[in-house]
Amino acid sequence: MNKDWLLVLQQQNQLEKVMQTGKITEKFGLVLNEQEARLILEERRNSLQEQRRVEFGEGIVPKIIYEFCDSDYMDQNNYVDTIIRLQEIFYLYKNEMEDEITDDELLHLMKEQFELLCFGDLDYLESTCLANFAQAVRAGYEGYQASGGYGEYARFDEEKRWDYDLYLDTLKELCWG
Amino acid sequence: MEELVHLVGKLAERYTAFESTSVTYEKAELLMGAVLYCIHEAEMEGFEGKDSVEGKERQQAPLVSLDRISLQKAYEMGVVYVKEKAKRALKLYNEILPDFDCYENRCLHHTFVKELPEFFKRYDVYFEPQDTIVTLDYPVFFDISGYTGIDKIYMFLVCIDREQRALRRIPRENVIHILSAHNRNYRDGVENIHGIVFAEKEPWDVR
Repeated sequence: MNKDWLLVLQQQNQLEKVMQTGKITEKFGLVLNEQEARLILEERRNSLQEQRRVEFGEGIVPKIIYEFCDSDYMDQNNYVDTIIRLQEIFYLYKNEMEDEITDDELLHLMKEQFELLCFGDLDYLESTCLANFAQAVRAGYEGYQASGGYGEYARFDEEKRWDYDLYLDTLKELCWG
Repeated sequence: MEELVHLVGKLAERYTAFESTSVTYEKAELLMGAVLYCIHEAEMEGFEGKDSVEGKERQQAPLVSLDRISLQKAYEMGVVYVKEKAKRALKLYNEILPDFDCYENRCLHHTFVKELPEFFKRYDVYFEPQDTIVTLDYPVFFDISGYTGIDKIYMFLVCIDREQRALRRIPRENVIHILSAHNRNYRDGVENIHGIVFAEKEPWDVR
């Protein structure tokens, strides 16, 4: 059987579902017009092809929107681009984590890392934070299952970050040589 | 095509326990294979003598016509038939096992005693019914290379059952003697024992 049937599976009409998200997101100042929604869905198709995945049912875009719409790092100016990047990252890491993690677990993890570790930096989210976590999942880590992906964002964080002692040391160094 | 794709989508939802909205291409293709296998099983299950070697050889036109029923219905029927065939296969295996004799041939022993239980432990009726799982290295006297999944296992068991019954008509030491005379290393060989003992050159022509 040729691969055309995979395309048929992809072509389910999700435009209406994406447009409906506006009812919730507008209170955060985020609105999509039809052209923007179509762009997001077109990029979704491209991402799925690139990641060799096929989507069924309602798709992930509405869930991504609902998960991230209250982000401190998303506004109307970067809304569409951020959603497009997030869906790319989502499909990439579903593959990287070998489908061991559910959609909801991954979304919750992504949101917490985006907000609390990456401070809105999508490149950092994609290349460092999620990469560390994916490595752990491939090695057999399953702790996220109990929490639904919540509270796991820093578990495999290898970066030295600011804390009180480090801040004080740095301040002393800067002010008093 | 759309109805078929819809079935695959529904199966994918079940496969992911409704916790994922996407699967890899490879998994989607496997699930399509699962749907097609069950639909094929529904098409073929109704013909007379379906479970015999001869029945397979003179396979008649399917009794289930996909023109008359929906693919959904055909798929659901096919799943039932696959489950029933798996039960019949296990029953046949358990009937053969007590008197089974490998006549010291390691390949036959390994295939029947070690591999087949693994099949029954791991066979996935819903998501991979087309997977034969085991290699079935022992060559039976009927060509089953065109079959997969539970069909292949069931035909293999039917063949083994027939071979064992025929071989039991001859004293065991005679069978061993014939096999050793044919090839003193027959114990490590991968040849059909029945064929050697009865010196048959053609597949069964049983009336």
